[in-house]
Amino acid sequence: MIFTENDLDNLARLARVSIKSEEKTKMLHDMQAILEHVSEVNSLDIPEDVTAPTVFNVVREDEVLRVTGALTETILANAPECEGDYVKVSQVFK
Amino acid sequence: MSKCHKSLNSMKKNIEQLHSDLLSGSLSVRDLVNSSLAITKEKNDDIGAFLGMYTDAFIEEQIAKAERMLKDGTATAITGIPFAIKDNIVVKGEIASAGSKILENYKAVYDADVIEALKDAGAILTGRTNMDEFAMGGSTENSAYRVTKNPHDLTKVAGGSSGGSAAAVASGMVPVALGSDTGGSIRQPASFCGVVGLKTTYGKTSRYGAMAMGSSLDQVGPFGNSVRDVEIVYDIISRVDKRDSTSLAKENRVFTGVMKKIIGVPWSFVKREGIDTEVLVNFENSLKKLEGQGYTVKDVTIGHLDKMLSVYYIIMFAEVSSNLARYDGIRYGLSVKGETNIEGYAKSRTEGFGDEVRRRILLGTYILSSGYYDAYYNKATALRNYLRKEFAKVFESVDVIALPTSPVPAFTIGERHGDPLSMYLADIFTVPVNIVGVPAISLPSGKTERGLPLGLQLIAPHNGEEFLFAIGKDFEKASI
Repeated sequence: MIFTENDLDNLARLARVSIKSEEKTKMLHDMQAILEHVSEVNSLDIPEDVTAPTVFNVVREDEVLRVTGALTETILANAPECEGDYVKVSQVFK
Repeated sequence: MSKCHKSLNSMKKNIEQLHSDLLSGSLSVRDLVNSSLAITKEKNDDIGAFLGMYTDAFIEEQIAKAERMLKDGTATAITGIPFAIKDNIVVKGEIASAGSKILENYKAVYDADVIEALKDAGAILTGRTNMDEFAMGGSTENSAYRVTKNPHDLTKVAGGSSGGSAAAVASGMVPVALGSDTGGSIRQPASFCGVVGLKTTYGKTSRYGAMAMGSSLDQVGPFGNSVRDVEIVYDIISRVDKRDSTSLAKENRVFTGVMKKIIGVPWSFVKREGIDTEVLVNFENSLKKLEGQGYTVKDVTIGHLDKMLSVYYIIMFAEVSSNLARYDGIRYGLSVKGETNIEGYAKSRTEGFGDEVRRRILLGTYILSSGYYDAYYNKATALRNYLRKEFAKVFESVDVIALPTSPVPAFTIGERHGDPLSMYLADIFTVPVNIVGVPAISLPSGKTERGLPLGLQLIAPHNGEEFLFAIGKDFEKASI
């Protein structure tokens, strides 16, 4: 398996993180070693009769259980930037 | 009388003793809490078990409530008992950082279900304990704040990721603590620090308010000085919670197993390359102790057990990359501005997350990407189902499966830190439990020649916690 610096840059872009240039060599090396190790599952034979366990949906009524707005202030206290009762972000469409 | 109590470390007394002292009035809640806080203050600089104490107002409020409950006859087994809480479990109005810079100043908006249960029972939550960032690690060296040292030898790690909670109990700062276990994060530090640690059946404790790492693997559980202490806490925090869709319904919590006093050991898996000789000898001696208590030890075979470390890491990486997408620097947490919102996400996440967290996010992103999904995630899921069947087969003939908790005793601080793969390999004996979703306990089983604690791990079928407690108590009797 080849996992290149190019792959690393591409993944970082997709995952919204960056890898500083001085970290790259070690990050690449560690990820290669880990991927090589876990790739052992690729070649394993699994008996045919293994089926997935029964998975079922857990649903509930879509109802408001709290008083609307009761937690707004508390929640906004953690927001980096807000205006009125809103979280403020940079303009999305320019 | 009270002077006598103060000179002893009350945190090393069992909960039932403390409860009876509190009821009789020979010990006051305030004295007990003050003594916990004083020991914490005295020892924490060296050990680094706690990241911070909860606010005075909150602690006072809890003391008042516990005093009231003791007076009016509504006290529970844990009323007035000091607890330490892992920093990834939220307590309303208090900071919960998950050992990460990205949540350094995050104040929780609500109580986790397990916290609600402890509060209702009158427990006293004293502070939040150190951990590997977002529970990713096995040594607490990945904390963004400090390394937790092993109370038995300050040059060694306390284990992880719940190293702070394990060290807090082991050093007598608190009698009990909560941690979380995704791949061994309660059992391994319990083993390294010489205390009891329980990972519950998946779905037994609610994950509501426990910050998600690997949602199909995570469980909250207790640390204590004895099996009985852990059992008492388990009885309180294990409950149905409709806010967690994976919380087991009442009818799915029933256990009908009848003890046969047979313990299974997958010997070919235990006697593997890399297992420490002292660990192996200690494990064999532990089994002899159980044989002395009337148990039969039987060799069992579990297919592909040696491949489960890879299965675990694939599933966990995938879940990590999805779960940690929520940390975007917009709604809460560290926020670093960029030219655009997207650039802001990357800047916040790069500054806020440490190496290991970013590495796991990247690995999960890779594993889930088109073209690799079948080879990794689907294959791992199929192997997970296979292992569930293998375990079910083995549990037809044995009550529990025994393994050492860790293949090595607590290692030296810094020894494995730079090599993530070698750190992962130390999880070989704990991860199969999370993959299958069964309960397991780590029991102190003696020490190495150099005085480092070792642990015996017992694994029961789904909902079989009572087997773990019963056999654990027999093991304690044999160890005296």
